[in-house]
Amino acid sequence: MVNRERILEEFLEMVRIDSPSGREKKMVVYLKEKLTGLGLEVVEDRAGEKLGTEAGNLVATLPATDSRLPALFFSAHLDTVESGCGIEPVVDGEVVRSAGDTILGGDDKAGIAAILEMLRVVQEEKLPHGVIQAVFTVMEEQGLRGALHLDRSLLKAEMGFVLDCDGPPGTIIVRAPAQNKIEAFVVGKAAHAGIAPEEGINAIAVAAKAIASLPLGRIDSETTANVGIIEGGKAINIVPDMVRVLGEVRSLDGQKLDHYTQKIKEAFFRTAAEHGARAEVKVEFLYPSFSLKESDPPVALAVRAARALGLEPVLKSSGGGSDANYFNHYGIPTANLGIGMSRVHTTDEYIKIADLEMSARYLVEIVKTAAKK
Amino acid sequence: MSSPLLAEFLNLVKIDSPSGNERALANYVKEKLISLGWEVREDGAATATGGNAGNIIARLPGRGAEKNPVLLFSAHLDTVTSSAGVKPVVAEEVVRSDGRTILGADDKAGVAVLLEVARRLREGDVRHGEIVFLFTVGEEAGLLGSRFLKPGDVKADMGFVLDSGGPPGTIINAAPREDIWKVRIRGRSAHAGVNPEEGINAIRVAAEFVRLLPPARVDGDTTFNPGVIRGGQATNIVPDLVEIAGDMRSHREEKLGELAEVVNLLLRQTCARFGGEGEIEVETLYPSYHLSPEAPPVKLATVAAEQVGLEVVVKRRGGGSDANVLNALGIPTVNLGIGLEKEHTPEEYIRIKDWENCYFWVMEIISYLCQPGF
Repeated sequence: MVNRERILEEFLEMVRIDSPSGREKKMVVYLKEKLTGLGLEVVEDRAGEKLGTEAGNLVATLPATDSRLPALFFSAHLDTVESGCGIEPVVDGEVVRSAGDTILGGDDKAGIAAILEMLRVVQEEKLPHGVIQAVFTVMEEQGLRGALHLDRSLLKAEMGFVLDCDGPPGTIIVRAPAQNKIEAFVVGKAAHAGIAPEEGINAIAVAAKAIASLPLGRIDSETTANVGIIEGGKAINIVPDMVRVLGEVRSLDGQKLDHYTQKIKEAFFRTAAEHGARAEVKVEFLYPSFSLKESDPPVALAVRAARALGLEPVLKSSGGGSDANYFNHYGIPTANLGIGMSRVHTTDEYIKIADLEMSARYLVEIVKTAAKK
Repeated sequence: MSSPLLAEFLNLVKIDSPSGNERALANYVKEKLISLGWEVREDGAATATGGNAGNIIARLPGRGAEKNPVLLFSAHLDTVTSSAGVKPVVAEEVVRSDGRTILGADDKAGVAVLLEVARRLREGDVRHGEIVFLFTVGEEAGLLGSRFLKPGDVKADMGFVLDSGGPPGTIINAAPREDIWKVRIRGRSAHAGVNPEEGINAIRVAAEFVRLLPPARVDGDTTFNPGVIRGGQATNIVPDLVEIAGDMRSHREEKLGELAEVVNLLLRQTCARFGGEGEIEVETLYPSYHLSPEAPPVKLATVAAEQVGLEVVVKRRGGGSDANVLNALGIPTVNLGIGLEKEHTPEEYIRIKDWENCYFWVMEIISYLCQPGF
């Protein structure tokens, strides 16, 4: 049976281990020992080398008790956003939050805690199961880069579940967009603002015209675009010669992603040319989209398991990417599950203890349901 | 004449003095003037402006022409950026840096001229009235040093600032008022991928606002410049705050009031259209000045330039200087061309000949025995 005290204690212990993106080594060491102790075979891949960071992804495998049962994987990420060092978790009644000026790091250590507890319960209760893999990724918060560099040959499962979504257990993300990140530079010409402004080309004015012509916000039900950062100019009395603009486009549809990315690029080039300025636009493809049907194996299994536990399954589209985007891209249908983390990426982040416990029970139920096939 | 002036200048440029950090140069100038017999004091501008040196005010009593008007000469000690490690290169009639830093002739060329004048006067054979030197700090950061001065801190009948481009003989008799404006546009943040429709993109609002702003050259008297923009925190968040700042200048003061109203109206209309909130602050940095050709410093500079054979050009300029502030303090003051070229850039240089002429011009202004009426 899922043990509330045990999962809470383990969660608090992991939250105290610093693991900002790129510095996941301590978590890797901690989990290697735990997983080995639980009888799993653990491999660290070479993603850390490829990324120039200190740790790779962990893929741990629990052999099947019955090889006819489906092979499943469960995944969570090891890294946290800033400020994520020296976290002191506080149990405040029914919730856990952080003391002081840090995040809690429940994103995604609550997911890790649920997976570890599931692995223990499956063995304690001697539940029949196919191959079960636990996949713990690095650098998720830096654009899913751990998943991008994952050694796919280590994956043996036929479907997967990422535990990295807000919303209570029962929330099942079945669609998520692809994303392009866009960085535009507008280069004008500096001049003294009072003596010879007509000799300059104001990069702020040119960038503003370009931005004012962009499709932004909610473009359609599956496409969004945003300009998130602008910075330019050195002093109030100099005609500014450089502005940097950062933005993004997301779409469930790859063609629309390309179409709107192109429109944004063209707007900067065209406006710059009209004013004798120059534009440079860099596009970085961050991750592919995915879209699962209700009948796809991980969704069907997650829905049945939720109902068996009395949870209301809620199928949703996400506006953001997760490691599930890459797992689906790698050909393994993968859903992202809600684990109840709240106000993530802020110092107000918290999680309900009941949701920690329920997430572990839900994973156990998924294993049990898979065995009933 | 050239070698002491040039030697002094080469000493000065090696003393780094970016705005707010003029201490070493202030000490050098103070010691020099004290050793030459001047009465020297430093005011409290350091504390008031957050720098490490105040304005240096030095006085030399008249000699043989005590009835002459009291003349003020001014240059600023600070440079627009650091010139640490500057390697001045003297070649082909010009002084420049090796291209890695600014030279700092703006305004150490002016400082050098005044120190050389002080040295020359020490020889005792030149008749002159009372002379006041004012070396200001923080000029490049918005005339901080001169703006700290109160009426009466500097007493003089007319003033000459040595801080303009153009060859000697150039007399700047008018310069615009400069106002700085700061606009803050608030939108509402939201996740860019999940629920962007619940946000209000402050950058989008700011873009529309900037698009509608007046052009750089508003009219023959007036300029307008959005100079700095900053906003947003991440690509995946609909940004909720943008700050834009710039300046506007006009030779006609009332024009800036009208412009501020136009900008304010544009801001309110644009924000209303998108649902954001806008605030604007406008602050006058310094007032304009306009002196007629008959004003004493214009007349004296003109006569003296003719005496030393310089071509006189009286004109207005689009940039402010300590002359704006000194005029507002009641001392009619012109800004003089000292041959600065490409100031504020690593290509900055100064023509040695122009600059020596500037020294002769200042000596002539000082030794010109004024008739009643000046």
